[in-house]
Amino acid sequence: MIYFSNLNSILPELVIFISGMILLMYGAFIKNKNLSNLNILTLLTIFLASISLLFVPDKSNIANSTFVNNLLTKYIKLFILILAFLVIYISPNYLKRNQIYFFEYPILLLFSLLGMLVMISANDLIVLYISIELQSLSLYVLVALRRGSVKGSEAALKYFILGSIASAVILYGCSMVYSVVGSTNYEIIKQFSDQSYDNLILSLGLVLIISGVAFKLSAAPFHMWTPDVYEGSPTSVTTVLITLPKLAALVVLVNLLLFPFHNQTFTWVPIIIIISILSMAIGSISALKQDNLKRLFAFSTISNIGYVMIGLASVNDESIKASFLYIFIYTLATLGMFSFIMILRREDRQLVTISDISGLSRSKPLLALSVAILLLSLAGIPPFGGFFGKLFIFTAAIEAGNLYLAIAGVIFSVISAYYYLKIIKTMYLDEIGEELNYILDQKQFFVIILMAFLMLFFVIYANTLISFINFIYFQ
Amino acid sequence: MNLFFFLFASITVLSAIAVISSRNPVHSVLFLILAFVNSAGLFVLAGAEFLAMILLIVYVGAVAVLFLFVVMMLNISLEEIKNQVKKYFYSGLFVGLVLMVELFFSFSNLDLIRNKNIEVINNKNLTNTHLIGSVMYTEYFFVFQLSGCILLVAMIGAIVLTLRRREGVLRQDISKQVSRKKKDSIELINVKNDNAN
Repeated sequence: MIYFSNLNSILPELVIFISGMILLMYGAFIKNKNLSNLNILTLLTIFLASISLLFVPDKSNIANSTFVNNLLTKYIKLFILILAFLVIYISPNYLKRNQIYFFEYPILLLFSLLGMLVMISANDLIVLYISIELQSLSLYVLVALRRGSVKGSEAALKYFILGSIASAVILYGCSMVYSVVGSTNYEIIKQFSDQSYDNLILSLGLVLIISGVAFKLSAAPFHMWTPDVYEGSPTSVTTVLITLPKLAALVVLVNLLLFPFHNQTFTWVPIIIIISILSMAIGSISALKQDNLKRLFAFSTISNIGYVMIGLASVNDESIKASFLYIFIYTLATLGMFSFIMILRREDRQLVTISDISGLSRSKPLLALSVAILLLSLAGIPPFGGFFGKLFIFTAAIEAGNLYLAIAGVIFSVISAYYYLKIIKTMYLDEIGEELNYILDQKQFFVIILMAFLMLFFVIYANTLISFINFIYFQ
Repeated sequence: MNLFFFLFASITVLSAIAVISSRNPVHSVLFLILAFVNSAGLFVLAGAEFLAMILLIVYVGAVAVLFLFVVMMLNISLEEIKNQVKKYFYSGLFVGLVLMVELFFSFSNLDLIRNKNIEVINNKNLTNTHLIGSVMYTEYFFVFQLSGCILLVAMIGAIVLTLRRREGVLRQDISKQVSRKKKDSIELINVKNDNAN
């Protein structure tokens, strides 16, 4: 069969798809009784998928070159799988305590993961659209899991309606591109767009696709849903929302802008610059007044996406690599922060406000120290990972001649340092509020410590990581 | 052919007007179905018989019937809707005008949209349905499978979000009823009848 001449190319996707089916049957028979087995099997699936990435050829395209693999997509898939592994690893106890532990939870996550993996490799507008839909539809259901709570339902409804509108906008853009190019394949679109400099419909289609993907990234003019959805959904789902789809959507944007529309920079660079500055501004200024940790980190995501966009706006290899490095560091740090939010619990309820953690350093010094490291890293204080991420982004922007973007970035990162430092101040200097006599969840605690270590010793492995990104970027 | 076009088109437009002007919401939905069926007729005239059938199946078969259910199940007060129409009249008019101007411009620049690259190869004089079927399961097999995944996720999602096992609700358990034996439910007790004599 010529169509799937090389099944190895979709091996990780196949592994996830088939075991998703098997686990669905298994789950239907055990019926929410013995869920720790199911959880272990899910983790095993993700592990198998990461192993099967080894068999994926470094350069391959299948299904009439609608699905393409190269070193970059391969290693980003690996990173996403690792993140998904950690997210599923830390969530069971949280779900159990909040009575939303259904057997469908890991299965829906697996299908969402399948959508993300296909998204990363998509080389065709139809595949792109379908995989984005698969990814977000599973997430809509996960957000709606807390049926009883009013905020949960509000979040789910908002996410669903606005997400569908964003998908519709992407589809509209795709149809416009198709109407002038006559094909949905990236390579043919590239041939067309390299020759056309003033095609209105093509530009309009591109703008619509960018807006739709920017919605999925929660970048600034399309960010309205972010705080409400992140606050209303269960924290373990917020952890998924804030890490995995962001990475996948960024790869989609980079693939689209730098491959088929590389010669249309006059159209998309101004848009990306505006999105970037707006995201940084709105993200860092609106977060100042937030008292709810989940809302605060929702705004922090928006501003961080703004920094990532700086790298995309100065179109050269150095800046794109800096963007990827930044989003790697950022997703790891937020994963740590959200496992911290999951761990916060008093007797019967989750704690989500800043005042709840006052004086944490007295009762749980190790936890407070790790969280402080994560926060300092997010704020961009020198020895930690986040600083280097921002450093590379800003130097790349200056070298590309976008000095004003770098200046804006520095100003907004100083503003956002305020609320990160405010949390540290509350933990270390404020009086102990109510006694926090909860038992730390071992798995979540382990992930917090792991992420804090990664941020703390970033200097040691920074060179290896950067040369690795160089290697996968210039294959 | 021309006669049928005008027949279908005029009924479509008239029933579309009736959708927004009729007093009874159930009548509105019925007119909506009429509009859909007539546009399906227009598609058939244009030679897109597959699209016409899809329109019938999806819009008339699923969406409109769903609307009908919603309208009949929910107690929608007509007065409130009428008031809202008054409230949004001017903004609605503005949006409608913008849309009309846009349509005007896009139709006057039709050659900008019209494609020169796509050449339809239809030597064997096959129907649209044949042609779509011949590529859907071969060239677009990958996408087809992914769409199947989406449907599966939608099904799982609908079940997760609606199926709830509440306490204290009486349910029929058929296997329990069938496996019920005589000796489980009937017990013979020898009762000494003292009071009889």
